[in-house]
Amino acid sequence: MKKVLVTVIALCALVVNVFAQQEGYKPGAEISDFKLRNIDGKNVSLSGMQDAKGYIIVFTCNHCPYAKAYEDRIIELHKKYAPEGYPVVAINSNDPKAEPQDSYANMKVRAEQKKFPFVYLFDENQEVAKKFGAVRTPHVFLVQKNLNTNKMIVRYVGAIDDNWEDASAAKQQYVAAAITSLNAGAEVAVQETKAIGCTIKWKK
Amino acid sequence: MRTLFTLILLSFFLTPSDAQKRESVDIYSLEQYKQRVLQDNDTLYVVNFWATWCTPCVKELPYFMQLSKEYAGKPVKFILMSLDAHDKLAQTTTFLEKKKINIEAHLFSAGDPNVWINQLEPSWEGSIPATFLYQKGSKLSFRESYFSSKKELESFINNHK
Repeated sequence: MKKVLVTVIALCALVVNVFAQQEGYKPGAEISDFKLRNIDGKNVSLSGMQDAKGYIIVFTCNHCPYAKAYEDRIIELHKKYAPEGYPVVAINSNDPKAEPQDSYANMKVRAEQKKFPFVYLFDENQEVAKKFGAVRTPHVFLVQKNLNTNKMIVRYVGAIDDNWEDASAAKQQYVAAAITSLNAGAEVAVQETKAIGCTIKWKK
Repeated sequence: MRTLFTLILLSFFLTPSDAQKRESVDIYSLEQYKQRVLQDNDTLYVVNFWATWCTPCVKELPYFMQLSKEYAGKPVKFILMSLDAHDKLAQTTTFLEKKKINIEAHLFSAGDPNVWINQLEPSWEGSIPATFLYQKGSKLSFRESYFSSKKELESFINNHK
């Protein structure tokens, strides 16, 4: 009987653990650093990006029409906010076996075509996407760094704006508004949004 | 040379015979959507959100088509809601014609996804395919993943019939 109970408790713990992993980072959560290979072959970590006050972490990819629709806006975000201390960190977590367009080689091609001014990292074993709880592309996690403690806290999770088809028709600039609030030392008004996107292609 | 020219000219008039004409996909607002699926009757509405560019979505379309044939005459209605861009409206119709998918289809146009996703289903993370079951004016079930077989879709439907 005792054995059964222990097994049941162990199983419950396992189930809870699995769910906790699926949850990912929510606004207010502290994130841990990671190290991923950039398209230039060098490994990049968040802590290695000096002068950053935070990071606009975007899970994206090459093939997805939604991700493509947002490419120019992601470039604009970096151009505007990297000088203010918020560089874009783009991450592709898709399994190239499931989506050959999203291979490391093709990431280099796409970055060259679009002249990405930001790092474009390959999350080959998909651990970063899992840890963050990224589910689709594009999926943004805006992170603020405490310059005293170096703690990195999630301040916004979701979409870049409210209109994927037409940037000029967007009424809500979610990421931009969040950074404006952070720069003013204020709380981010909209901390989480939902959007349609391509699912991250997980390894089978 | 003249024969070639005639052939080219002819090709403009000939339509491919394998693509069966279907009703054109139309734009659907959130209001139209609610009116369509939240009806106070016994019909079970099986609503699938998809897009032409979404590989897992396209893969499961035939299961919906096959089941719609099998359920013909029964109070089960299959509806496809495309999340393609507005300028892909015509292409969406052509795409379904080529795939021989002849079930009711609309292109969903409801503004800020952050608003309508939460209205339709708060647990929806925003990935597609996603499938809803509605009956008697309320939502019975929701699933945010693809069906790997016709059987899987069938049991999803039958669990709630």
